[in-house]
Amino acid sequence: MSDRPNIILLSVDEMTYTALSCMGNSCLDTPNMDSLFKKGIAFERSYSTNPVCSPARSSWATGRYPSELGSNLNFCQLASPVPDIGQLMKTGGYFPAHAGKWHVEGRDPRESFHCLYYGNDEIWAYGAEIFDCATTHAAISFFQDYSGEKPFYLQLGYINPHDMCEYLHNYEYKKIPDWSGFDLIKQLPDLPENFGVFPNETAVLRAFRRSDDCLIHQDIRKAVLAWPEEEWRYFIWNYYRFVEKVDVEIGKMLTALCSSRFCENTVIIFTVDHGESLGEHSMFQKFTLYEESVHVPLAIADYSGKYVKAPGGRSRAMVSGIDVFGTICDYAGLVHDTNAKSVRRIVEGYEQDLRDYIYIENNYWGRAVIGPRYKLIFDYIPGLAMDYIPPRLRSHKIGDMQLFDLLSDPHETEDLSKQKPAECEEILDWVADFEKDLKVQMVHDSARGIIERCQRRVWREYAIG
Amino acid sequence: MLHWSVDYRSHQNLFDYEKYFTKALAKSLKIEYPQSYNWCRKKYRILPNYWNGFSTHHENYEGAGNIEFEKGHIGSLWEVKGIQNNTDSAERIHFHYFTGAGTGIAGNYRCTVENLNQDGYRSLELAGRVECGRIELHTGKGLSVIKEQTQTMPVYTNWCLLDRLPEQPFSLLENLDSLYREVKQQYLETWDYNGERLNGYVVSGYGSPFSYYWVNTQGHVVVAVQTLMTYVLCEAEFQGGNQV
Repeated sequence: MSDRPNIILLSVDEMTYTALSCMGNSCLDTPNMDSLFKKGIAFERSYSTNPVCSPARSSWATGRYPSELGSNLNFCQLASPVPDIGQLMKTGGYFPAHAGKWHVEGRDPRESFHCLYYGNDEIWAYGAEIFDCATTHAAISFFQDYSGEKPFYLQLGYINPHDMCEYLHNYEYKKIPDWSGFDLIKQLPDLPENFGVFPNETAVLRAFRRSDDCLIHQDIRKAVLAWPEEEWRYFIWNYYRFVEKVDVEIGKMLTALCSSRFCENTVIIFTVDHGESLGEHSMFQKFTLYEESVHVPLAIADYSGKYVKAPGGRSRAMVSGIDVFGTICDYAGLVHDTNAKSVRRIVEGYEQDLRDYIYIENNYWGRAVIGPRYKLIFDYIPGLAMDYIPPRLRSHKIGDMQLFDLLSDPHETEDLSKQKPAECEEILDWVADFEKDLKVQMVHDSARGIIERCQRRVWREYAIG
Repeated sequence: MLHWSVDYRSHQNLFDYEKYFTKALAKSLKIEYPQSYNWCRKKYRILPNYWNGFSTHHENYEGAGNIEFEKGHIGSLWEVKGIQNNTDSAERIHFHYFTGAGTGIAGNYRCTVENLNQDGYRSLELAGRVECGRIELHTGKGLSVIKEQTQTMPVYTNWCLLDRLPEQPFSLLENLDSLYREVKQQYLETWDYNGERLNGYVVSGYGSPFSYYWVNTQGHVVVAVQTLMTYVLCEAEFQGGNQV
């Protein structure tokens, strides 16, 4: 067996940073995911590259931002033949295996990995309840039977708590009675502090809140507009149950791993593609650039004590979704030509910082940049000519902006963009510099219709056209 | 009229949910349920609840398979064995366990899971034991999967719940390998369907978002609705008459 460790990329889907007991949330119980943080290093400032499934996952798989892949939205297929992590691991001497959700559009996981469990169709979002247990069975079976000489790289893509989307879809078509008389009401979580719509949202977000045909699930959006407070609280309560559900699956997988011979030489990278807005900013699901949607858990763990210098530690280093790729490559000893960085040296106690700023893309025209203190959310104004090349400062004008002080206002309720123009300028200077290295790709035909519809809605917000 | 809790007509595009649901439910309502029996066999049809944006069903799709089990009386216990064949997940589970009257799963149990898709993972043998709330589960080759003590007893599987809904809080050992402690049922309302009165319950708790169970006047669960699947009783037969 090689000296290089086995690596597991363990992911869940649509789980917000605060939906863990170990983050102080007393409304749910997640002992198994908590154990990953106890046995590892928690990265407290880890962010999705784009808060929807396919773009975020494409970044994990390639080390590139969605704009560099032409994969800015769900339904965008990878625009260029970039190598994915499965292919790189294979050529790098690893045994790459995969079970569960993949959702890198335009790339069949069976071509890049030894697919342990694929289901009857490509698993992207549907059927988590039944597929998550199958993913666990596949993992346990693998720990039991893998006898290869090569170290393995195993991707386990759990889908829950994404099944919360199914709960929400119920409201699209059905009149569900008022739950307020139901006995459970005494146990419901409170509404979040930042429930409500706050002033000065950007045009892209306003369009998504108001319009049909934008990327948000429009029928859910219409249904929740009529929700009383209790309905939101039932939604949050049920969401936490889906989190516990996936925690149980992870517990079984970890128990099997720890009783196998691989416990001694396996590094686990645990993260999430994007968050979930549990009524924060009166939103549901993801799609926004607010913290609840983009801030995701990340832990690097091992159960042998071999790879983590100070288990249970917490790092304030800022980490992007592309760095999941960089970290995997680093542990595997693979070189790559992307801007992805590795957190390995932080895990080993040699370094403390990784990035000065985090760059996040959203809804094609939306962007957020997070620095040590301030977070700038801004729009690129859609141009009149559409070339399907993702916008950037060089080609597009900046539209609305929101600036938040994450230290004094972590729930993002007070826009400071008018009071602090210098802070906005400083971040935009960084953007101009950063985007010079961004090798943007034209988006695939498959997403152009959606982009055109959304463009018209955003124009309307800017009174264009 | 379909009750809102079972109404997934609008969630399907290539699949006539209502047709298959009502056909199965009509069958279950025609069954003669004896006051007592010492052997029975039940079959539940599995229908998908996915939102249509996620469903990729082919044109001849007729649902997501079946659950079929039989239970017979052995001493003071019921021996239960059966198969859950979920064609959407491609997993077929063979299960075998014992339950006491009102005391849940007792002693040794086992299940074999097959992946009908024949990917890298083909099958998994699991053997477990439940004793005084202590649950241990191992693979056929000795890997540990569950080693837990639950304070909420008794312990039931989802297949127990399909048969009879417990009145008291319980721990749910879903598919005999996922443990959710502290689950309970609460009465919802009645639903009069084609002249039959069904009693509805909401089951929820740790790791358990709302699910809905509809029970006939003889106490048999005829419909169970979870987030992604509806289970409808479509066949049942009973023998003997010594024990309820």
